[in-house]
Amino acid sequence: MNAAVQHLLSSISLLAPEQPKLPDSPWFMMPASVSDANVSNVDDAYNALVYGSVVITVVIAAVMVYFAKRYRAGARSKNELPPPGTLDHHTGLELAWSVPPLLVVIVLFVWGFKSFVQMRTAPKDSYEVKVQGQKWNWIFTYPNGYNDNQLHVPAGRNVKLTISSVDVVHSLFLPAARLKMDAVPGRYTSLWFRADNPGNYPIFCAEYCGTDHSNMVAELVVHKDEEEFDSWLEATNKPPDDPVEHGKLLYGKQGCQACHSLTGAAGVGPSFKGIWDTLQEHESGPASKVDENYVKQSILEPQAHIAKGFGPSMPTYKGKLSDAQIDALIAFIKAQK
Amino acid sequence: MAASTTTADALTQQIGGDDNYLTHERGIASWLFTLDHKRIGVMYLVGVLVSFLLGGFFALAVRTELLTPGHTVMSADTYNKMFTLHGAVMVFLVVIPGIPAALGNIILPLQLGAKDVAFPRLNLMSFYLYCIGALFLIISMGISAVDTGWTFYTPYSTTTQTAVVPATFGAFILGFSSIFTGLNFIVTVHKLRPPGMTWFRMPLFPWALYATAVIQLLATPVLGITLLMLIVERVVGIGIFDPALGGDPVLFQHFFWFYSHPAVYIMIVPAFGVISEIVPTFSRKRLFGAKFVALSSVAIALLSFLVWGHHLFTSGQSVLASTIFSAISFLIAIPTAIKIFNWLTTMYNSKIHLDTPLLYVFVFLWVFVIGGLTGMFLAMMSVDLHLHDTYFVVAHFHYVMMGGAVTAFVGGLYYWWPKISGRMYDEKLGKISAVLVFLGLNITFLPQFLLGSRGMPRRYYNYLPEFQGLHQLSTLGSFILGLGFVVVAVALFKSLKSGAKAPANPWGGGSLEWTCASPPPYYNFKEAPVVDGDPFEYDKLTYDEKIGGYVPKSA
Ligand code: HEC
Ligand SMILES: [Cu+2]
Ligand SMILES: [Cu+2]
Repeated sequence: MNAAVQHLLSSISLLAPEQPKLPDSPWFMMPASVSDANVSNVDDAYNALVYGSVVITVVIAAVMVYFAKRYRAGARSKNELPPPGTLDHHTGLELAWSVPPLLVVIVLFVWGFKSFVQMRTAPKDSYEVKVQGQKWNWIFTYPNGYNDNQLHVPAGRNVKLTISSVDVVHSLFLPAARLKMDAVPGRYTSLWFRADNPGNYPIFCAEYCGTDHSNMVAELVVHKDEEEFDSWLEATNKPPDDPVEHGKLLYGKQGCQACHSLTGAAGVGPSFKGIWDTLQEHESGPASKVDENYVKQSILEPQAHIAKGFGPSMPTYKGKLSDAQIDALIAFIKAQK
Repeated sequence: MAASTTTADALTQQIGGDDNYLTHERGIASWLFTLDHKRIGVMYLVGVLVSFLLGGFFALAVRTELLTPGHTVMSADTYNKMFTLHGAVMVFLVVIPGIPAALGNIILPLQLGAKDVAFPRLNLMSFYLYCIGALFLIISMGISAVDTGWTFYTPYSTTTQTAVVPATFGAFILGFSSIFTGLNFIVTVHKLRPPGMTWFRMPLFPWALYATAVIQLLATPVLGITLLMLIVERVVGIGIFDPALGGDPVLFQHFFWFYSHPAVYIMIVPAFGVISEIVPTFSRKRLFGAKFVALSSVAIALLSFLVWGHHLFTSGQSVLASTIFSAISFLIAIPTAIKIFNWLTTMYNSKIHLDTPLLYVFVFLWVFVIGGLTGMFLAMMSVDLHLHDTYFVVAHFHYVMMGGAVTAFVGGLYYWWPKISGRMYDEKLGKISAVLVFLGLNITFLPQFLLGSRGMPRRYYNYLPEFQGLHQLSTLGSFILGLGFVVVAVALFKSLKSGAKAPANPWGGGSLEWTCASPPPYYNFKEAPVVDGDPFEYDKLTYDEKIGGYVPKSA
């Protein structure tokens, strides 16, 4: 097994305890929803389309099979032809099968349009969370400045997500809310929803973005009320006292683990295992020792030196991490013997 | 269609002299430098079938990898290249040239009673451009392949380390090949119709090819320009699409789909043409509402230019723009429904011969109805927010492209095979292949509708464990589908080796290609046929048991 595969497996198993599960769903087509009232617009239309399509398909197939049996010709030598005078065009019929479908699609269009406008217009009082997509994780920034790779929201509150990307196009996909919106570099997009059913739901990246696109998965945690949510948010202000523990937390939450393993297997970036105090070769320029300054520079200006054998794919964390957080990450990397 | 040929003439044509387009000249050079539309068509056919084998291999690699979440047989990077190559090869090398360039090249001039297409040299050139484009795709595979998806979205495609430039350049060249074919067909249809063949006496296949050619001519240049801009941005660093350079990535998506939505119709409209040929011939009945069927192809071609924004409902595109695109997308349902109802009604009160080509039409109708109806889900803006970029979309376009365009292509191949090769194929094998393809298609792609509805995003290497059962079912189906195509290949090879000699008109078709021998002589027709009716005059033909085919009724 090559190194990349090993890394991938390790990153999957690392994620495993956190891997979101789809809750059991009452309806076998659409997954369980964050809010039955809020998604019924989409689900009703979807169900109507499913039933309608099944009926139309079955009827057409039945007619086809029936005709094939009923009008089956004998041997070709019999030269059988349809009875003379069989109709070969009929404008009335043409109208009969184009006007009703036209009416149906108009209804569908209006239905879709109405729900769409509502799905796109965020209520004014919404709780705002900023979302940043980067290869290959989501960072959710709460109004108090805290950021996390999970989306926590209180039940019953309208939430508006303002979405952007630091590198390529991603797409934030919340199947439980029947919503997705692209994260486009260089512009902001937005999305709103209200979750009524407490629980955990998956968040995917739906726009292809490279190696670990399919591991760009996060979790939506719906707290049962404002109180529980507030106490969760409160606790985020107090990071663990031990800097190594704090660093470990950030390693997971800031998405370092998507590219840097702790096992020694190289992934998209070098593994952190045993790199401290070693000499790191670069694609160009002299080698440098992995110490506090080097790690700090790697985090803030990753393109300054590119480690030998790797590509320039690490995003900068400038402005996203405080000095205390960088110190914690340094302590954590130092501890990976 | 009664061509005024003398009985003696007709007789030599029925039996077919030794001199036909396959034997007229010999040696490899006589093929490589040929200007004969039939030979160029055959070379295209070989190219398309080889590419189909390659694209099919990539597809099975993708499906095999998806047997388990995470690593099954390949790394994530390899997987990403596999689905990219599968998409690029199938779209640019198989489905787009499949019916028009391969079947169309051979059949169109024959159906018009012409000696060749309007510009035979341009035709050969477009074949060579096809080869060069394919070569660039192969070169890119040799370097490091591409991992962008066939959509080449920026800024991923301008920043990835893989061989994007040779691959996109290949697609750029393939675009010209497609443009030249389109141009050639438009002029051919306008200028080379025989005396007496008015537009509405023209068979339906040329109608469809004509509508397709209009799209090829008008839409493909936009793809060319877009890919060129992408190459310029990547190589020289001029900011067009990359926001880091002051560009706009969504602009790329608009340009790309401005071509690629119409391209969907470059792929499916010729299929409509094939179906409209097979249905009346095997029902021994005039195509119902032929005028509506013909004009609906043109309507679809025109509407297809105005719907590209339905791929961008989640891109941050304004609500107003999305609304307009959604409305026009829904409208396409109408001409499509008209076609389906007319084909069905043709079979009403007819005399049906259930041979392989018609079986493929049945497969086509079933899958195409499903493909079309699921398009309604995606045209509906609210529902699309959930389904966009999931396996639902994957299933939808495979029902249309694979189920629609490819089954029609295979059906057409069986239909015209006696004409092209001069040999009959084994009916039993043909029917077995149709059943396998039908089962394979549905077992592969029906589960994907469920996967997508449940939230499984597309282009995923790893997935949640709850999706595994459906993925495995889908993989099983893909192998059945693969087997179906193996049977098609066996049937055609066997026919070349030991098939019975084909008569000029084995199915009793009424259009002009059936009036010349199988395989056609080098010059197709001794004299330009004169046409005095439409292509559905089946009462003017009678079955001759001795030659196993139809001959004109002697008056
Ligand atoms: C998208 C993948 C990716 C993510 C996410 C990522 N990195 Fe990196 N990182 C890389 C790559 C690739 C390199 C090697 C190229 C370079 O030096 O820029 C690298 C290099 C480094 C280095 C230098 C290692 C050496 O041996 O030279 C450090 C330290 C580092 N990253 C820390 C981090 C930390 C801390 C985080 C999380 C806050 C992080 N990275 C997130 C891809 C990533
Ligand atoms: Cu992604
Ligand atoms: Cu489209």
